Amino acid sequence: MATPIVVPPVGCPNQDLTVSLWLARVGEQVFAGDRVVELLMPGIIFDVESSCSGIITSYECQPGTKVREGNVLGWIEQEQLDS
Amino acid sequence: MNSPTQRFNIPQNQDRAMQIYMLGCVDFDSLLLLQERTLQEMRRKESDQAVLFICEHPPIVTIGREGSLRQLIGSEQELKAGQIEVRWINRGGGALFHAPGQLAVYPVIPLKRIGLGIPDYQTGLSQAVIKMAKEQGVVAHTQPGSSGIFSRCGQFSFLGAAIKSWISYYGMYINVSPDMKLLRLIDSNQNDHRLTSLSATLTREASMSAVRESLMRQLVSQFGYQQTHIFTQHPLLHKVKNQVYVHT
Repeated sequence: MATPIVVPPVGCPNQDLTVSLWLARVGEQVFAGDRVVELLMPGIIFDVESSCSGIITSYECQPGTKVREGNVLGWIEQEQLDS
Repeated sequence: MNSPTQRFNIPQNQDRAMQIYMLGCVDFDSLLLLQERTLQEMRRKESDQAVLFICEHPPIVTIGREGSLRQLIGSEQELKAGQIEVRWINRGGGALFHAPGQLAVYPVIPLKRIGLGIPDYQTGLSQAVIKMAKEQGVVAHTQPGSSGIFSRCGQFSFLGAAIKSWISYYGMYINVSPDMKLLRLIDSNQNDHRLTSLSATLTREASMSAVRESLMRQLVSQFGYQQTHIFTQHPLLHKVKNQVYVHT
């Protein structure tokens, strides 16, 4: 199942944020809680963590793109756990 | 939101304590390592306790995510001759020259656990600096489109912070009484604001210890901490004073 990587609530819905850089490549495996993308607001950077374990399948935003809370930054294909 | 008298509505916890390390002149790498170690410990413990590092650095240039080598144009030879290292680092803000006389303030605060958003954190830092400056006799203010703090003579404080797992690190830099010739070797200010210090604004030497004490008190108050534990050294740190070879 594809899960979006979303800009989390930062406390200011109308604040423009800039995608600074991706910390994980497309095709790379990530675990829940891994830092996957870095966002920038004037003077401060912060990391967005993966909400699930899986494979990064695509970026929706390239570095330099302006985003806001709730915007989708990319997608993770959740891993199917063997039961 | 940006009222000068703002205090955040932070849930009060009488046991919430801030450990404050007032460390004198410490090399950049050592303090970075200490911040990262503190952050990892804080992440593991999941408590709402905070740590504040206040120090000065021997001469070094750091370039944050908003910086560019363009800010160093014209000073490469002098930096090289002065054996001054240039480092790219993962904080906000642009290129900054750090030197003794400039106060480096690094709050490691679990923002989510104390209910602070990122703009609240930014405003809290700014307000602490503005109130500290007022206590020193300097009227200071923010400016739209800039994350710095200004006096009538120009910009004297720079924000260069980072947040990892909703815990803050890095922080801000305040020019108290540095050698301004050194700091002006690079273009710290990409918005054409004049670079200044508290001493230059006051036209007398600002007291580093008074600034440290005032800032510490303002930060503790701004972020709602009830208890403080103050240390003047850290067992994992060693002090370094680099020779400055630059003559301008």
